[in-house]
Amino acid sequence: MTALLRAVFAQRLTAGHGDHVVLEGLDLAVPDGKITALIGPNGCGKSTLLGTLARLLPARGGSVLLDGADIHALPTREVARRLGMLPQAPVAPEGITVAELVRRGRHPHRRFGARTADDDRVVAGALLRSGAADLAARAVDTLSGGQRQRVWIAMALAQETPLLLLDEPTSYLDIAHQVEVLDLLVDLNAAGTTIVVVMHDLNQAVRYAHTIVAMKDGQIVAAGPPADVVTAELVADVFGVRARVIHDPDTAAPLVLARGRHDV
Amino acid sequence: MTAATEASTAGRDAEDAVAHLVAGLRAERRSVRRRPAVTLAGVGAVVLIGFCAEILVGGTADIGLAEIPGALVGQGSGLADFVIFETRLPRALTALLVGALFGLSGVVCQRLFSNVLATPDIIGVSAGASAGAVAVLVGAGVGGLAVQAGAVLGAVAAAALIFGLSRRGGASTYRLVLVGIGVGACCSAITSYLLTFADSTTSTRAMRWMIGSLAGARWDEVVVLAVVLGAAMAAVLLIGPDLETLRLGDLLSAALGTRVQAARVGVLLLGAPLAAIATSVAGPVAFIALVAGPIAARLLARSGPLPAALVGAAVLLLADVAAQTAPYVSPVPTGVLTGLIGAPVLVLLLLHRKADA
Repeated sequence: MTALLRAVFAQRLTAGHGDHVVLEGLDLAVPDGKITALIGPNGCGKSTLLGTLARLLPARGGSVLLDGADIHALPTREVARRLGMLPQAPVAPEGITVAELVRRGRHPHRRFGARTADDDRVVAGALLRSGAADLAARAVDTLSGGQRQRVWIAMALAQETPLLLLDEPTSYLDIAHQVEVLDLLVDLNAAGTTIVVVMHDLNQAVRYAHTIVAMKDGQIVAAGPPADVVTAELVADVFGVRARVIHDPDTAAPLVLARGRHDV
Repeated sequence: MTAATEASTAGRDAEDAVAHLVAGLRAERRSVRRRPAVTLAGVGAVVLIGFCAEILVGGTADIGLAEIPGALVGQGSGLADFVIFETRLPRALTALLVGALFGLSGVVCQRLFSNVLATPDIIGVSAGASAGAVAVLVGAGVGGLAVQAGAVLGAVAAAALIFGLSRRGGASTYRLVLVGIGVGACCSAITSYLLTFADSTTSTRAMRWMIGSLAGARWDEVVVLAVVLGAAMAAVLLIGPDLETLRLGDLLSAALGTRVQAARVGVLLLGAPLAAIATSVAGPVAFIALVAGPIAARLLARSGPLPAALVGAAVLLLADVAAQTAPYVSPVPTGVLTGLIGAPVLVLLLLHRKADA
């Protein structure tokens, strides 16, 4: 029961952008201490759900509970101390260095604008854990995509939140950097951080997440352990693509092979 | 080696690595700060030189060097007192304060909208001030405080209109700049229309005000400007950290615990009136608000509101000295010279601007 208290709940959640309603009456419970992957086709509401859970988008109806409290009743800064969120493809200010950017993660912990000696230690720890320590003095705009993503994650780490939401952290990365970022998430999770991550690659979601939440048209179609959720029927239903699901020869996890019109 | 000692060794290694990196981060920060400190002192020196030049060579009256110290505190002879204490000193102080206010309001708006073009003089706030001032000059036929009140009202009305219109369907800085240019054009048209009713004396006065001039600076205005600048500095120090996170974009700054809408409104309530008050005193002196922030950033590698205020003061002081003493052209309204310098700087900024920002 205590484990459930720290998780995020969405209750009869309705949300969207402007006049466009994306989510309607959605219920979700994010298990504490686990990695949860949100999957679904483009435009199904994954990012909207993530943004609403983080209170970056207003809820039009229903509520989001963070540690058992209504997130909209909490002070903004308090939310930012408990919940970190990395949006899709963030843009760094021109000319900012890696160390400065990561230090921005300490913003919710500032008191009267002063920085503390502790901040330096947290920033250093975040840089080391995300493998960006040797980039500290570089300007962010001179980095490669993979390096940049590690720096953004370091910034989210510097925020020191028990809950971390990431929107497609592996987009635009090559396969080696994708695995690197995902391994980093596993390390974080092992150290106690609850993670919710939007992913496009089904096989990576299966491989790295404890729980898969499949979405379609603003609704949750299925949620549970990867082996239970990811089936050929689900892939056909959610993504509208014919697929064969076999088992990974090394891990026995489900492995999705999408079939196009030209396949047998 | 047992697993326990292995783990504690690993833990110690990790602590060492953190301590090492912390030392590195601090050393880096110190070295990054040293250069701005030196450059800031340089800009400060330029301000001082400009200020002295205003006192020494501003205008044509011939005042002996020996008379100046006494006249600076209002204890000189009749003529020296009038020229130095009543004319040149308030003019120098006005240039300093108005330059700082323009620099501050410009950089605050640039930060807020993450766009170098989103300054009051470009997005039509200054044009609104001109329309308001000319309406008072032509309509009521009075000068002085009423003109200033008209300018502030016009600037605030233009700012409200621009932000109101560009907020529809989610604020985008691109839309803000375009709407601002549109509103600015409307204000200019209104100004031109009003000027067709004016007699030649009024229209000359109006033109002079619209170009921006520091001639006729008065002590009571200096006091108002100083109080406004002091309050603005305090406010900027207070909202500085939020202004920094706002540059990361709405989503991320909200995720970092900044109340984005509140910060936006706060910065707007600060930035637009600053420009309006400075404009009401000196007229819409061209380009200071636009160039102060980028020049400070270029000089200091990293910039904040306070360096931009200092650069704004330096630029306006030098331009005003040049406006009074430059061969062939002087004396001209200060705005002519800042326009001559500022327009090429604007072009350079546009050419060097990064496509993504």
